[in-house]
Amino acid sequence: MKNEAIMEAAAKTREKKQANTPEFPPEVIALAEKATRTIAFPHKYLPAQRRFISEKTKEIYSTTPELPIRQVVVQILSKLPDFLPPDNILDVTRLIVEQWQMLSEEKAKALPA
Amino acid sequence: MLGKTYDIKPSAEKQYYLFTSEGPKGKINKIVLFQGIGENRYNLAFGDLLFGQLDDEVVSNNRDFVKVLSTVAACVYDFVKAYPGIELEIEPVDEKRKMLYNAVFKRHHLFIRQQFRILGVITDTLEPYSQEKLYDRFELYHKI
Repeated sequence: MKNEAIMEAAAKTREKKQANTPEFPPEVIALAEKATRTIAFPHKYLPAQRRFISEKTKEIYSTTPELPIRQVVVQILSKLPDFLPPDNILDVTRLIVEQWQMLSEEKAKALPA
Repeated sequence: MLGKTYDIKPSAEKQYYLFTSEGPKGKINKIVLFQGIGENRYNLAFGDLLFGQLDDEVVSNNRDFVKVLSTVAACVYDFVKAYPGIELEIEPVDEKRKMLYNAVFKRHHLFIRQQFRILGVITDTLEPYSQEKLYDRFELYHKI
């Protein structure tokens, strides 16, 4: 009896939820789905990604400055989402390498001659 | 606290939410998109679904911006239920929205703080949020 009451309550909740969930035409859903498989708003996304890459590169450099650049790239790329397009992966890789070189040069300059 | 919101339709993985704004300009489909940047950091984007395209710069003028922003907030709260502990970047696309978002944070920061640590950014300097300042963008860290 108790189980039946729980099942009934759950069904009612489900029905209520379904009634409140709006429906959208397939083309709207398709567009939204497409947005998840690409960089939907590059003017916002790319600066945010750049900041993330910069932060992660500095983090790794601060703890393991002798790490081979290949491993640095692999470590950071592994943290990125799967939807990124090939050209973005290339840009990210370039950014990591440039940042790493810059950090290494800064460190070298700071060392006494 | 969120006030009136539109009914939302989350995607299966809750990567986006859809809702329909209703006002003098008619019905406008909107999307709230949580796009992963890396690890557990996400960029929050929202805009209109117009003519087969996404537009986050259009000014809808549907006279419901409070309800729309409340709905976006409802999406954020639903999203963190599914992905606790995330970091969220919120960046206005123009000066008008910058003023609007700052006004929203100023008014609701105590409520937002119950679930998030709020940081603000002014010209690339990240700092704990202060209601006295005008920020270029915001970072929210969900408290677990």
